[in-house]
Amino acid sequence: MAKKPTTLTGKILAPLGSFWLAVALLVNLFLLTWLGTLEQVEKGIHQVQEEYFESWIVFAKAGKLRLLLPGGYITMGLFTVNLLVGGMVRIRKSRRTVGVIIAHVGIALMMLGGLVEHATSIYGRIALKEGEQGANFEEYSGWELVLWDASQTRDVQEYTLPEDRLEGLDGGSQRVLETADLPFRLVATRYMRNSVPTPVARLAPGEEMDAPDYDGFFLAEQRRSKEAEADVPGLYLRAETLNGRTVAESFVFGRDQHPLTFEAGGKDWAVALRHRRHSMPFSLRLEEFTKDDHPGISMARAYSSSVVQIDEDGSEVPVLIEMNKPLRSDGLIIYQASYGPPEGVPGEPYTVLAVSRNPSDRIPWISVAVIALGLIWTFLDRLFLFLGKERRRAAQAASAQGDPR
Amino acid sequence: MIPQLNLFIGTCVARDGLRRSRLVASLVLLVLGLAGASPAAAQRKVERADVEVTRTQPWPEDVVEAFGQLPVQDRGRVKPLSTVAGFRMLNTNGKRSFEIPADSGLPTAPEKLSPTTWYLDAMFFPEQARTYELFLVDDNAVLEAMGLRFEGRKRRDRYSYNQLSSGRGEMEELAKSAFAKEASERTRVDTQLIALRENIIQYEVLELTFSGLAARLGPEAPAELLEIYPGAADGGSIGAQVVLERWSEALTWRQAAEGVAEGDDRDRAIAPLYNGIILLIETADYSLAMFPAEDGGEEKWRTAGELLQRKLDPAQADPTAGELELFSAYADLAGVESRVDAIGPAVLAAFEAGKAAAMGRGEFEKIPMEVGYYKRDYFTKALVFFLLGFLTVALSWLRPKGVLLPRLTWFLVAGGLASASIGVTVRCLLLERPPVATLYETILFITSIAVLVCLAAERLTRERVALALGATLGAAGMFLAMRYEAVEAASQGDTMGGLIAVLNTNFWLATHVTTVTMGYSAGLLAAALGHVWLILRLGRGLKNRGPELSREQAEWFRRFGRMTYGVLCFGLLFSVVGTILGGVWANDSWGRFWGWDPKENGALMIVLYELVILHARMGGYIKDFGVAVLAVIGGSIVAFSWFHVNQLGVGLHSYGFTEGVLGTLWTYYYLVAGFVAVSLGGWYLLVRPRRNLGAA
Repeated sequence: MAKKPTTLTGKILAPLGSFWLAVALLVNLFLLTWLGTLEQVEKGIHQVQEEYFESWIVFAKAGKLRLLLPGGYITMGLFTVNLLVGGMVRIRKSRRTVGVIIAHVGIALMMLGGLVEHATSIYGRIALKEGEQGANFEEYSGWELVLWDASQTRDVQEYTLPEDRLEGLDGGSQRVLETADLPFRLVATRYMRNSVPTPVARLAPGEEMDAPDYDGFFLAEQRRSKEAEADVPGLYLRAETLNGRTVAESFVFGRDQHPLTFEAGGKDWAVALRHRRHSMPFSLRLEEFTKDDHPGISMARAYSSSVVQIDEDGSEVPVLIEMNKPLRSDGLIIYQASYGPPEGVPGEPYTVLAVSRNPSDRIPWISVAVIALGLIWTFLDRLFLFLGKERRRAAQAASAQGDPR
Repeated sequence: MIPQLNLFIGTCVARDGLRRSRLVASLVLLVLGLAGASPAAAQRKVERADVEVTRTQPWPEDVVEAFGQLPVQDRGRVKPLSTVAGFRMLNTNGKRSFEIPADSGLPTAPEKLSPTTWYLDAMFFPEQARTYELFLVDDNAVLEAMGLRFEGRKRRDRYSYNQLSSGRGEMEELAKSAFAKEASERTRVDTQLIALRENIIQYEVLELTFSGLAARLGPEAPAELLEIYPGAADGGSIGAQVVLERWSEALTWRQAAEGVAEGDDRDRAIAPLYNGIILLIETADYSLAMFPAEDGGEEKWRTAGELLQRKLDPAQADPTAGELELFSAYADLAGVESRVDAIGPAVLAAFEAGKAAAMGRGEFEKIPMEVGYYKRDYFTKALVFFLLGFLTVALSWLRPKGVLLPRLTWFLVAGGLASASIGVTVRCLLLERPPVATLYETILFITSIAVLVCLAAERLTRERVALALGATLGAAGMFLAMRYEAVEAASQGDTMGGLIAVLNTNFWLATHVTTVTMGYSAGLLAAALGHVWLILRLGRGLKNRGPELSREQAEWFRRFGRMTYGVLCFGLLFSVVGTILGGVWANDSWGRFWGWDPKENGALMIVLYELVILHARMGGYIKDFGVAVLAVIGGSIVAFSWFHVNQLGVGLHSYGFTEGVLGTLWTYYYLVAGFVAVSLGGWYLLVRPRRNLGAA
């Protein structure tokens, strides 16, 4: 389909835009998808996503074997190049290929949308009881270290540090966290993505701790869970004054009921790990949560949250957020995701709204239209070509038999 | 292997008389086999029913029809009683009919029972119905575990309630330990025992549906009690609502003899009244919801036990006059004599009362349509059409120049498609949504689309190959749908159950699900075409003893290959658009476009795989043979995406999980692998181009 390269650039680009590379990359992506899907049974979606699709190379599990395959980054990167070079630049431009080019443009657009989403989007949730108001949402699996002046009760200023700044701390190194307006610094020494506080007394005879203990407890590192949301991180840290005097040394755990507190510079300070928070440019107040069950069975056929969107200027707009009908406002998309408490569990009803910030939210709509146009064009073109050939064949057969038609 | 292959190819291209006669013999055997004829099996000994009260005549049609249309609410929707009976019978018996054997000793034997007549018997002639051997036991190890042993029975056989009830106590013990295990740790016997127990309990509850609504006092009921309940005089029955109406008087009468010897007599006299009510209340959660609220605002229908609970619970509002009137109409059924001519009018009267109550809420309108849907059995009819179509198209290959048989085939396949399409459309009208929300529905939809595409392809090519495929795929699809209906019935009790919130959107069901399933349909059709291409091509290679083809033959195979390619293009269009639309839906409901969920991955795999085939063909790496082989493998990828990913137990598409299909899937994968291996071997030995000969 592509023209034969004559220039040096063309000769270099030719393999990058070749059918051979396209087929190889498609086969590899197919294998990643297939083997990754099967491995989800053991590892869960999130871990497989990281290992297979958000990676450079992967040791994919194929039964009892392990296959070394290019990971999602290499595959998708080369795939984009192949698509641009082979499917849009070098492809022969003719009536026959118009549909193919349009479809390739649509795929490129979708991949661009995916890239934007991967690089910039944020996903989280906000849970509200009836009458409750909130302006922040929490990530599902992302965590952050938060520090605040515990002696303040209003307008508390928080200092936060996302967990990616803590990752890699395995006890052999340390990371110093300090700002100019704090009379102390925090020294993080070990971060565990999934951990559980364990009493020293529960250690079996001969078993050794691989982390220090405080008040009879130490943090035991755990394997990553199948679902990333189930991981609870822990951090060993110490607080020391600017002249190096240690004022606190312990660990914080993501599910701690109370923060670690210490005194420095004449104030009380608190530090904790929590799901990473983001603020919204407006707040939401839940007026009413409605769960509509199929009659006679406890299966919800619909659930919705009647909320009031309160802008920074105080204006209030009532909004109904339903399953499949999210609220889109100020670059955020807010969905009806879940509710609680679970069936049979006492407690006040609450709604769980998923919140996402995804600038490429609408790109799939555009790309699906473009791809569909390209494929329909191509399909109809091939169909008419086929029909033309069939007509000619029938005419030839008729004339060969002396049919007057 | 080769002689068999030769025989098969012979059926397609036979010319001489010998082959023709072999073909006819094969077809006759095929038809006989499909019709279920087999060498006479040893007659199974039937236990003679030893029953005091029997039904002496068949149920009149109008009674069966009215009883079948009785409105009830079950699994979230209002439906006719015949639908409930149909699925109960399917779960219990493995099929929707039962024949009372001629040597059962019952007056109407032999008699074929529909689900509705079975329900009538179970409710009004329980003693007789308990002798019906329709409890299907897949593995008699379950019976052995229950301490039951029956001579002369097959491993998979059917038993009556009476036969099984002697192991009831042991069954409860075994069930207790089976329930204590994690679902994944249960053995095959555990699982089957739980299912059998469920069927037995459901049967016991259904016996009480009407008989439990009323009570009778003993023959020596004290006069004072009969004064309170005059309706109970002379062995008459009194509805539970009447019992409760005057319960305080009866209780006062009983308490008046508290502490004296007569108290025990009064206890015994009054016991039948409250025992029935207690039973109704105990089974309130399992019984049929037959009582719609008069207040149209409340959607939930009540069971008899729930209605009585309302009467007894001061915190709840008493049943309304309308509800009690309907209760009374149904309770009257409990009082009629055990004769068909007495029960019939009572059933008609009860039906009128039930119909009026449902109509008052606008919930009866679709009942007759649903009764008609199951009665007309569109999909079995479609199966018959497709099988006949397959037969006629096979016969038409004997007379390549004939026009009558191809035309007949065309009409038969189109008739099958029309029947299936009407069935699918009626489902749409009943459920008020596109017919693709459950796996069962996707089988029907995908089959219909595949047959439609086959007919379109036949119209274009007129080779009879697409026509034969249409008949084959249609028959296979309808057969699969019937089997799967039983699986879905066992797990969900209905194939028209309510949808979870995320699926309750007609827009997305009509766009994403229909397009993606049309992609599945095309993928499977391409796989079928690939099979046929390979069989014919290898057969031709075998016949020609080499890869050489005449010009006409080469052209024929090329055109066939193009048809496969065209179907793949068609499939790619729908798979790509359907997959992306799925992402857009996910973006609107779950807040992300793509989450690497197994169902999403399955759809992506089809897209990627079809792209591999098309790019490899465009790049010249494969030709028609390669396309055919890859299309055949593509069928298993569609199966993986359609069913297998739902079995992994991972992801957000949890509404698609279904037990018991993995074995079938693996069998299919092995068959595909075997077929591909044989094809590749055949290619190497027979049609591998050696010196640029012919097209391969």
